[in-house]
Amino acid sequence: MTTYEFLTTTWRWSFLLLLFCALALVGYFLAFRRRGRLAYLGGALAVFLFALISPVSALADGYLFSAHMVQHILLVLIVPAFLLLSLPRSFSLPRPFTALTHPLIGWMAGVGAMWLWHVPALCNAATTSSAISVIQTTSLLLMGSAFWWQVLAPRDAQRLSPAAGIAYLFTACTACSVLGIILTFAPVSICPVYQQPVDRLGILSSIRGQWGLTSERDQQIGGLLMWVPMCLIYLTAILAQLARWHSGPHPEKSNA
Amino acid sequence: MHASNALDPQSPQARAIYDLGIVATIVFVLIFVVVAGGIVYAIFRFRGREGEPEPKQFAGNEKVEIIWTVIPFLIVVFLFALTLRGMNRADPPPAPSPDLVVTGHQFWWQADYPASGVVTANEIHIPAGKPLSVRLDSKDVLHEFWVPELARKMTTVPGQPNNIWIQADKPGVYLGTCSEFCGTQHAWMRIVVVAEEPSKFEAWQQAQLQPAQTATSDPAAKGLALFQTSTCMNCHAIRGVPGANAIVAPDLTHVASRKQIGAGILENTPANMRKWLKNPQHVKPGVLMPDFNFTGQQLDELTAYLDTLR
Amino acid sequence: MNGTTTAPASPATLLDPAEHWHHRLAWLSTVDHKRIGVLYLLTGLFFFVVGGLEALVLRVQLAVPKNHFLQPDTFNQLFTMHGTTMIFLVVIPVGLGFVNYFLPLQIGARDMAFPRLNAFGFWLIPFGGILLHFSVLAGGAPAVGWFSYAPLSETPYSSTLGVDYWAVALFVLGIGSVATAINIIATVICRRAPGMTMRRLPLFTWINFVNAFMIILALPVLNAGLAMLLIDRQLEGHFFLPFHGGSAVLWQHIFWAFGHPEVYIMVFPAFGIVSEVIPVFSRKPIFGYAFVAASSVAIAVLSMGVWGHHMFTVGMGRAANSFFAISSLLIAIPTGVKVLNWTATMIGGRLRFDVPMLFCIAFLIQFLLAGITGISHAVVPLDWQTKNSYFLVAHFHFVAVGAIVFAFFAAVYFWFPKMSGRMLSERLGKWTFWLMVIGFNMTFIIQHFLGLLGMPRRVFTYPNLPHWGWMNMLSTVGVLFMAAAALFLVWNLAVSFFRGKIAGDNPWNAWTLEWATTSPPPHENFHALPPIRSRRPLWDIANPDRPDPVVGENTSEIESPDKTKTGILTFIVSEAAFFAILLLAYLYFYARPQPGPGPRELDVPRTLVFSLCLFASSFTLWRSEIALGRQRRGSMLGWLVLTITLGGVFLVGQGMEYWKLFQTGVDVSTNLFATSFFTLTGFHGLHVFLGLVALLIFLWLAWRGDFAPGRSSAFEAAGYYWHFVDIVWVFVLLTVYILPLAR
Repeated sequence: MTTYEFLTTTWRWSFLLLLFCALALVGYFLAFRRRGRLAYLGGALAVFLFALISPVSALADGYLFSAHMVQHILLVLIVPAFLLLSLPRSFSLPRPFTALTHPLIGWMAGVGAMWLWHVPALCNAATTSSAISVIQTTSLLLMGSAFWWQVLAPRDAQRLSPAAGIAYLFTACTACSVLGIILTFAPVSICPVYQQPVDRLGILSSIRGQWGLTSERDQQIGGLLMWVPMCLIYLTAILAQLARWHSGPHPEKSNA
Repeated sequence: MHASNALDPQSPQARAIYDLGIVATIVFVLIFVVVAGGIVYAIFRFRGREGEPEPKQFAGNEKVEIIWTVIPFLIVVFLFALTLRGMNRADPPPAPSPDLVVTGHQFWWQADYPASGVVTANEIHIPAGKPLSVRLDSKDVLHEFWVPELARKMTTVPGQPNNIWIQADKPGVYLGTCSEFCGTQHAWMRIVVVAEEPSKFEAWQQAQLQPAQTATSDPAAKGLALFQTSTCMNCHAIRGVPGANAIVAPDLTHVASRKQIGAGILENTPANMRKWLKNPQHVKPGVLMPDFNFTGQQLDELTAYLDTLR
Repeated sequence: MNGTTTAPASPATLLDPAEHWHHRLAWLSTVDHKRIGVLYLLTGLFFFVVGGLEALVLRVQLAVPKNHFLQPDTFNQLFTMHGTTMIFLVVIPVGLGFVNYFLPLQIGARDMAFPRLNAFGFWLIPFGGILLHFSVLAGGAPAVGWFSYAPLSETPYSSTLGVDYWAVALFVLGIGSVATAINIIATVICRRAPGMTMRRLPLFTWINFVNAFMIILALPVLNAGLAMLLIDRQLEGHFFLPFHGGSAVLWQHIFWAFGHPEVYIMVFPAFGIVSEVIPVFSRKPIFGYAFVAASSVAIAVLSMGVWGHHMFTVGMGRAANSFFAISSLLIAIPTGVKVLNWTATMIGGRLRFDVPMLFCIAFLIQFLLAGITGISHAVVPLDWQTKNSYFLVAHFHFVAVGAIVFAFFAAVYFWFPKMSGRMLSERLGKWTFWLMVIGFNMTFIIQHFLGLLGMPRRVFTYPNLPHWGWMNMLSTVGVLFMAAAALFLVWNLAVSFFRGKIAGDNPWNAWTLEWATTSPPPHENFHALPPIRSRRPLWDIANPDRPDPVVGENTSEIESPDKTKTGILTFIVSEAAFFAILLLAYLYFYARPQPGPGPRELDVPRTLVFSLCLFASSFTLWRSEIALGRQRRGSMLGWLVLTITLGGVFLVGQGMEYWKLFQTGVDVSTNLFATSFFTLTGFHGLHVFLGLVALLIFLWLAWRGDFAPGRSSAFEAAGYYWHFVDIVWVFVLLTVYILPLAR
């Protein structure tokens, strides 16, 4: 299969996924009516679908660790961020869930989403078993949401103060960078599935040849993706915190 | 006069870098002119005079800030695209097996041609117009192989061989150097790349493959004996001399055919060779070759012998 | 130098001769931030002269091709010492000196948060400097370059003690910088005057506050690397020795993970200075305060992830090169934003071209060029040509001299009146300025072209290739101009100190708080502080008809966190960075198994038992703190004794582990597993030991009943440290003992 064929034919239009998105849209509309911010929800669903039906997903499915990492980043950092932004200002979490809004839990969720699913056994299992893959996707979205809640919750009072937010984001960035560094420099495969892919689509030869992606380089790129672009996402958030602080009316409670 | 001028690229790889450099320089000059222009404008337009009141106080403008964040961002994206393209052009993936292995030593270069088996030092011959895949290795510390007119530079890392491509469009002599500090005589760890017509290169290779002639007449024969009885063979190899196959120091089988002594410090003439042998530590302090305290006669004999190794 | 000339009751007149002599000695025992600041600056000036003379000698050797003025090894030692001196003994101390003197003044504080720690931080600098230069007497200075690349810096290739002295000296200097950085952070957080909210901080203070975070994160990385290098050299470890399974490239990763933030650590004080001087001499507030402030944070964060651009030629691979190219290109954006804001500050102003402003304008243009050539090093293929050539030498001297030294000169002219009470001579200042501009540009612009013509850096001489001769000669002549400029500066300082025009409180009509007190300021800085409602309190006073808009809310009181806890938490962050490097190094070699002993030699069950003791000690210490809070002395002592016992038991357990390994012939030099294992656990053990010493001191204090209730924050701070050491052990345990079981 050539690269062009690959890019055009490997979109996986899963009926279930589309149905899920449609239901989410309907549910959102029923819950919030006009108060919601539909553009953000659209963004969330679009990125979500892109992560799971586009060729990225086909590659992540046993071919390329780096594609898996793209998917991972989109699901943990991008989709939940859009989801939280789409919530109306009046939104509050139902009672039992407010326990999840402790900053420590948010931090552990955000960092854990990165570390946990890169334990070799789990990483392998998620790639080979579709049931575990569903669990993975769900958990990534939830953990990502718990993480971003501290920064992007609908109301200011629900969020961390800017200074605390900066510390929160910076330490999370560091913790993920360490993993990225380990993945980049590890001489062994973290996720052995990607070392010897089963060539279901007949694309392996162009990946290895035309694209020049050996399995080591693939893992290196994966590690670097977690390290550099992810840190840039955190950095953007840090700058947003600074902006919020400089424009905010109540700056002083943040100092510490 | 030969030079090592990065602004005069002589291979497709070096030219890719040069072309990229031209585009980047245009961008850089534009940035410089705009910003420095702003500074100079401010200096001349807003010069204050004694007794003037304080100017209007204003503390910024968010729109302007956003504009001058976004424009550099676009420039950065553009430069990054150039970077990716330039990397592919200037340094394509290596061939499965190298055409040439260059090994850095304190303070000289060893060159091996795996296909033909030629071994030489400090002077690399290449056929003009043909890209060679070069593997770079080190026997001791870090060195860096840099021939500006022909290729990118690349560090030689002990235990981690690196690869580059080297090529010269037309015959000529190109100068290079070690560019990573490697010890006392880092300055004199220079390299000469001789690009020749393929036929001439082939002839050179054949000549280099011949074992050394055994010197039969004095004083060269006495020089050979001296070579064998002193500790020269502990470090130097001469193919054709029994037992002389160490690779601690440059292979001398065809030493007289090279242009320079001591990785660039002296031109290779019999007089200079004698000077070198008399006391290498005086010519190149810190070189790993000790001073042997040869007598004048011994020096003449050794020089005569080495001169036969063409 | 002169804390006494304008003070009303000068000790000199009140004291008898013996006491007077003692008063002079007070400079050595001072804990006053202003005096310490001056000591920093004088130390920096001294080493600036030393490093400058070294540079002069280097350039003389390079003036003509094939020169025999210096022996090669002498040259190599000189450039190593020149680089090390200028970076660690000039730029860092001078930057910290200005911060020490002016940061507390700018925020209306009486002193730094920890005056004695401040003195300690300073005295480590001359101590480190002496250690470094002592190598000259002990077999020769190091000759490996300021980044000391392995394996050249390892024993087989540098057998004299030079590198050891170098490493120990840098270790000491690193500790000093971290101590000062902790102090800066605690001062800014806990010592601001009422009204001086974080959003009203002068930019010099803000930028150096951010800088302090970079210091506490970056310097420990260097210290971890230096510790590893010393273990290689002194205990025959193998971290960076490729022929024993070590990695030469790992040293580069560690060194530059420190080294690139270090570049920003050096330049941030300069950014701060320029952000103060340009507004004052443009008679306008800084353009885009928030953007200048935020871009500093962006630079600080990005700087941690760009070190790879120093390594584009070591063969990291296409992928790594590309990502480091992105991050390095991106860091140009916040830097560019700063330059544009400074420029925009001038536009629309009424510019006054006094000497500080002249230096700042030269800074702007030269830093612009430095930034642009810097971008060219982020464009990987260009770096493949220009790296390690004179182009690079020119680039970083444009940063180090063209930007940093020029900003420091500006700061000297700007703040000398405040420090001494007297103005520097403008006439001599203009001589300094023009000689410096001409000399600097003559020396370094041409070096860009030398590099493009193929001249590599760090060569003691060079062949007579086309153009190399005259270009080098021109460069050398330029240095003479700079030397003359330095002489003018020293002359100006000396003369003006005694005979300069009296400055008054606010000679430049500036707006930040350091100008609201006498010149020089009294012992505790302020007799009374003006009200602070905006970023320019003195502007508001001078222009009551058009004050600056109030920034943020007007809070009368600032609740300031406890400084001891702030300090210890900051310290813990820097320790975490140190251990992170040791852990990563352990993992790096764990992933590349070596022949010989490995993790299977370790006794996991026994270590788990001893680990439980350590973890339990965190619990007991917590109980002890609670008891202290409830004023139950007996209970507190009991829990504390139990804590110390448990910690001691853990150390005994570690000792047994070591003993068993030694018995089976495994020591640091055995293989890389052993080297990295002993390094990691050894440093942890050392920290446990130090924690025990601290707890023993507390036990003694509590035993004697000296524990005033107010002291509990120190005890709590020690508790934080103890918990941190336990948490580090969790990671060590997981990595060293548990991870191999998962295989």
